[in-house]
Amino acid sequence: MDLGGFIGRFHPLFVHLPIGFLLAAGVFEYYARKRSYQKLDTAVEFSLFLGASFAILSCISGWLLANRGAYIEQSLFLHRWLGIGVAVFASLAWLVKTGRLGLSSRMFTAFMWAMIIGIFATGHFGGNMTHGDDYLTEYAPGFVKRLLGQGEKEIKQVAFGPVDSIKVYTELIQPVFEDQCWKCHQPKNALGGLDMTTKTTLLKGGDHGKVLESGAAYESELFHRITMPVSDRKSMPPVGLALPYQTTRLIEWWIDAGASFEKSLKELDVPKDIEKLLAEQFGISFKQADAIERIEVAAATPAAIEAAEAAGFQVSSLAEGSNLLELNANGANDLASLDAIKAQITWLNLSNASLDDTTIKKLASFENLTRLRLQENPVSDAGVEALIGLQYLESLNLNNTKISDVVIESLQKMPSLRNVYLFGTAVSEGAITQLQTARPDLEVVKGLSFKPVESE
Amino acid sequence: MHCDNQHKKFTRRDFFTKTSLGLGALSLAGMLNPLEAMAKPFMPGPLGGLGKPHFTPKAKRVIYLHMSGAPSQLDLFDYKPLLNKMNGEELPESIRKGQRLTGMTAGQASFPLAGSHFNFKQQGQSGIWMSDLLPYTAQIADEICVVKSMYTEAINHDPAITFLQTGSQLPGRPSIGAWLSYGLGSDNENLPSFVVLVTKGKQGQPLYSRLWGNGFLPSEHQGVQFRSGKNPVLYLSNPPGVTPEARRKQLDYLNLLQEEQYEETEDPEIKARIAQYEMAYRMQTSVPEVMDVTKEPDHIYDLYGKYSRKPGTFAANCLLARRLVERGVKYVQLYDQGWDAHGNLPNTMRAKCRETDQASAALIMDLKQRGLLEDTLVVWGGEFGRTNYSQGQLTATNYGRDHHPSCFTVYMAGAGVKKGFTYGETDEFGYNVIQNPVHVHDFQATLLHLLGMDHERLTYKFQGRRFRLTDVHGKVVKDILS
Repeated sequence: MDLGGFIGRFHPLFVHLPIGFLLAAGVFEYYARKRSYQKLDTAVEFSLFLGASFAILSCISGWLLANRGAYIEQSLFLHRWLGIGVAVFASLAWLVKTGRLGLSSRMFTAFMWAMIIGIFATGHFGGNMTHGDDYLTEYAPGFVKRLLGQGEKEIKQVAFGPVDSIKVYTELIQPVFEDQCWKCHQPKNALGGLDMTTKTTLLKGGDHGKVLESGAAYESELFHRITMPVSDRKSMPPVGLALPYQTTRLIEWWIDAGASFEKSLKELDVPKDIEKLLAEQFGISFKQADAIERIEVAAATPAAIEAAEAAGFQVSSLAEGSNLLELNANGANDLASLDAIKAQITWLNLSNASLDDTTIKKLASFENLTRLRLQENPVSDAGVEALIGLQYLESLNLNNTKISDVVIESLQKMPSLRNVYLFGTAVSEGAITQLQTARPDLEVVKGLSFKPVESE
Repeated sequence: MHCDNQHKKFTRRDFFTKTSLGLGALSLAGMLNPLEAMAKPFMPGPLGGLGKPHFTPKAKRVIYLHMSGAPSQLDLFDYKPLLNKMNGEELPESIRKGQRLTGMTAGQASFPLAGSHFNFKQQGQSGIWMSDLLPYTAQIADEICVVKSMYTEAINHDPAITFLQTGSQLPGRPSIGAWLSYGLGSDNENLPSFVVLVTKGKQGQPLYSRLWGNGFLPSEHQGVQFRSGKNPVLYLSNPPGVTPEARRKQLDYLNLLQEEQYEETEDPEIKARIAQYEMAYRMQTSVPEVMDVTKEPDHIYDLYGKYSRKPGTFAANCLLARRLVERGVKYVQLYDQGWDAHGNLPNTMRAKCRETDQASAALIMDLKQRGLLEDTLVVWGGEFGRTNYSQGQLTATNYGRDHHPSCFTVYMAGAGVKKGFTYGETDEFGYNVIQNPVHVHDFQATLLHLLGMDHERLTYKFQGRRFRLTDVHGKVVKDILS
């Protein structure tokens, strides 16, 4: 049986009594000095007696409680000694008031002031320990916060790079530790002997041994502590809310995957639920974003769009808020008229527009093309070769053009190409096989037909 | 013709609303050019009247193959060996759970489970289950996304098909194609953006033109039915004796009168009317061109199958659908009747699949080889599913299946959906959805999403309320998006 712990838990109950009695004593003393309330003088002594007794009781129970919880050392120190100070001053004040010490009334006033200031300070630090530092000011108006130098809490908006550059520990796990654990587990103040700020100390563990079992979250004390019921006094973090499921799941996965401090996201096995979690919580996507989402251009001027429309092109915007344009030639082929909007054009349909190699070469400077339809044009290999530099080109339609097997070399070099259409061209099956071996990520479509089906 | 105040393209009030918001100049420009007026939504609509999608679309156009009458998912895609094992045994109440049946079988004394008479195999790299009724679709298994967990609220054909096509079981709402035309406008000034093709000479559940109606949307957004034969669009060609020149002259004089009237009343409906007359005039050239399939090479006919050479068949319509989307039509709706196999199911299914399997698959292949599948969505499906128990007598060679709203299968192919993917699951009896249910409104929301539209933002105010295709429901099925 832990009697001390039992008594300690009464601390929050006791502490409110001395606050009331002692403040009342102060108020009574103030009024008792006025003629019409002189009678209150006897109440001062009585209130001080009660207040001092309960203050001593609070100190005892608080001392017992402090030994059994994980509190931030600095606040605990202040709260503990301020509290004891209050009890001392209250007792002194009572002793003076009852004439047992034979000190002057000036000393009495000094003790009273020290006691009252002490009550406010003790109460404030005690409250912060239970509820967290920002509890009091959480809903304070902005100017109060600014006065206190807190400012509006910034929402951390971290932009993540591509998946292979994200360091799992430094970018995903450590920020959680920093936010939730470092206050009490740092070199200056390593509660339980655990310092979580460096790899070495984290791996070393605390007074009771290792906290991380790499590859086994369920064997790791750290994971155990952050997932136990909050009612358990060993539960971490000791104050405030428990960590959300997403966070504990992320830590679980990190430990299970070997608790690596160096590896990038790409190097670890990412299960489906973690993939989803990363997408929802951090906006990390494992899919390579479509080129369209990566291109950034300024809006085309209305005059430039009108010029293209005057030349017969049908121009439309890809979507609300997008500066990219889709163009349908409908037979128009004056590519020079598109000069002012060539950076904005990303989908371009030039089918059946009598374009030859010379004119097609102009497209080399349409750097943001992602989808290009050149079918039904007298274009040949030389024209396609000019398009190698189009770094975003994902889909290229060359159906019914005059290309030959030579085109394969150019297609192979197009970095983003995913789909190429060669229906109705002279490109041979052999060349297509060659292309697909070189670029397995590329889907090459020529003419399609069914395998014969036996009729019933 | 009644006086139509609601469909005014641009009222005085609209003008002031729009100009005060700074968009007036743009809307006005579109309004004053009658050629463009057809190409862009008439109302200064939810998309700013500029035909801009809410976000970058995956699909630019849709071909929807509707199998009217509701094909049996249990004999095509939803493989349930348990039904064969328990063939003839009673449907357990633990599975039916008191769900309603149609009046056609509710009175049956017994509900004998009926296993499919057709063999199932996994097809392609993806291993999608299909019965041997679909030898051609089997060859494009790796291109399609099969949703086995569709469900609807309606149990009879007309409410169900109306629900699927308009988002409401009650007639009168705009159909999907009309919403698209309204939201996105047209890519071809010479053709309607919403075209309907119905297999010719089929019997079965009736199809009404309200299924492709515009509802309360401006009337130019309604689907236009193209028929096989001499007059693909009714009342479009000139009457005998009227030459194109005479028609042109007539329209020019009519326009002069209209303009004069417009000067006087400034009724925007007059401008709309001029635009529609002009559109009809242009269609006199564009429609025969698109309907003329004689120049299609033999290998294309071979791809779509022998029926494709006969105008009006489902296969011929599939070929036409491809020609229409090639020319910028946004939404082509095909209907094929005769799938309502209450009795004599094996023979009906054999016959229907023979007529449609090759052409449906060929359409997807043909779009693919032309590079169109990357931004065209093809949808195949009926209005609900069919029961796992036999309607009427279950014999060794014959059975029937009644209407079943709790689960059915549709497939999609093309722009923005996963390839070779199966989504959703039904229980062992093929009666209830047990995983990833997709409601009709979810399906519609997903369709709009693929076209770049937020189903919650594509609205039209009518009778004091903003209407949506998905009413107040619908959730985009993100899991099937590629």
